[in-house]
Amino acid sequence: MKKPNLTRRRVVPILVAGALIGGLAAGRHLFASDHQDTPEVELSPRFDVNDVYAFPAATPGRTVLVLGTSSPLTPAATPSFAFGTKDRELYQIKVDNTGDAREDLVFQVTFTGVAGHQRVTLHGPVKPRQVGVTSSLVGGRKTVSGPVNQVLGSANGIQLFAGPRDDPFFIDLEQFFRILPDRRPSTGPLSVPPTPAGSFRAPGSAVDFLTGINDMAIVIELPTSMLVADPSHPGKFGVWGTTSRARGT
Amino acid sequence: MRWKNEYRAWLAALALGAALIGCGDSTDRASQSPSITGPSISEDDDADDATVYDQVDFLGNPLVSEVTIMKVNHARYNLTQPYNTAEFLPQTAAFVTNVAGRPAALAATLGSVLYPDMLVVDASKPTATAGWLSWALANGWGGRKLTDDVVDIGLTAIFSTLLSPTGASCAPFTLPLCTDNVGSNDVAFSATFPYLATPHL
Repeated sequence: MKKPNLTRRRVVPILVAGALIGGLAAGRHLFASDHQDTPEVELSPRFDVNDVYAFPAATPGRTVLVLGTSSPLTPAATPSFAFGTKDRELYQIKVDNTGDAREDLVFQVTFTGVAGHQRVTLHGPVKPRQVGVTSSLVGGRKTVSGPVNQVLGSANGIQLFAGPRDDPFFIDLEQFFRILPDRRPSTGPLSVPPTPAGSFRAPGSAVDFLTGINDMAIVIELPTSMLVADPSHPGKFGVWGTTSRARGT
Repeated sequence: MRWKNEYRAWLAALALGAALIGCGDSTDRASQSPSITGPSISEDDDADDATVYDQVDFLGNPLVSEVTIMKVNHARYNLTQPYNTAEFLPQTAAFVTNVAGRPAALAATLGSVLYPDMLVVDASKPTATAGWLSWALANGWGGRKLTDDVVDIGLTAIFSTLLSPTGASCAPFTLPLCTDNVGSNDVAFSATFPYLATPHL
């Protein structure tokens, strides 16, 4: 156990100095997610982007993009789940396929209606009206639209699902906070000062903190050819996710 | 554990400096608008072209902002875009060298694959090679799969002996700090769309 002590000696003072994450309101998603790490996101969990995924679909030639966002950290009660509606919030998955780290294509996902009766609309992939941190709706013809919590669209074209799903991330967050106590959340069960540890736990003792936890997921599947710059010569593309708030709301 | 062997291989390749390639394509290809083939439902959703939306949150790669960016700068990071993330690279490097106590060369290697901060896919490569950061190899599709244990991958890349023995805390994917021993999700993923498992109700 001498190695972990060595590491802790390096790590902890810097954490104390505030160099790293702290104040996780709900203590989730430390590594893989852009969790509630700022006051604004903490207060508005619907704007919290948890995780972004991009992976090959079950059907060859197709790609899946996932934007996982947070609703209040409750493991159940689906009717209370809701996405932010378009008068307040815009969800986007952005794609750069020309290598300049600027979005060439966007997927704009918007919601209407109250919890339990929401509808989702997708525009894209389409060239955005602006590049960068300020956005407006591309408008025009909807790509896919329909109720949340249903598979929408075409299995040969663009498919869309938006709704609560099991949170796909996994981590022994409890033990992580024992190793790096300074990073524990300020509220909730993980806010209790943990017994310091210098190691993660053994198999069988380790616990997936996100067991039984849901997130609000947006899943899009489409032909990979629609994501690359030149379908006849598929190349690289980069993917990221954003949430945005309607100005003045 | 097959995937862990695969990641050992690619991490080792990174250590050798092999196949480290920038995200950008060297060829300048004409931008092409994809055809939208999905069905359209004519429904007035009160689209408001005048509404301006300001970014609140941003995420590309897992790990980058959460682990390596100073807390005080997270708000600023959330308001950036990949083309601007390079300004945060020194903070990531400082985390690897100062906090984790690892060599500068390792920090440079990790920085070169994590910035600009977006999930990179190389669609010219076999999809069987998909996995977080595998695009940095000669034959990797990249992206990020639901089953990718990005915590162990990140811990191993930062703390283990794999990329460098200097200052390492553990062997790859082993205790004390190079695995959290949570290697998979609590429920199985679906083999078909939408892939994520049904919610807990």
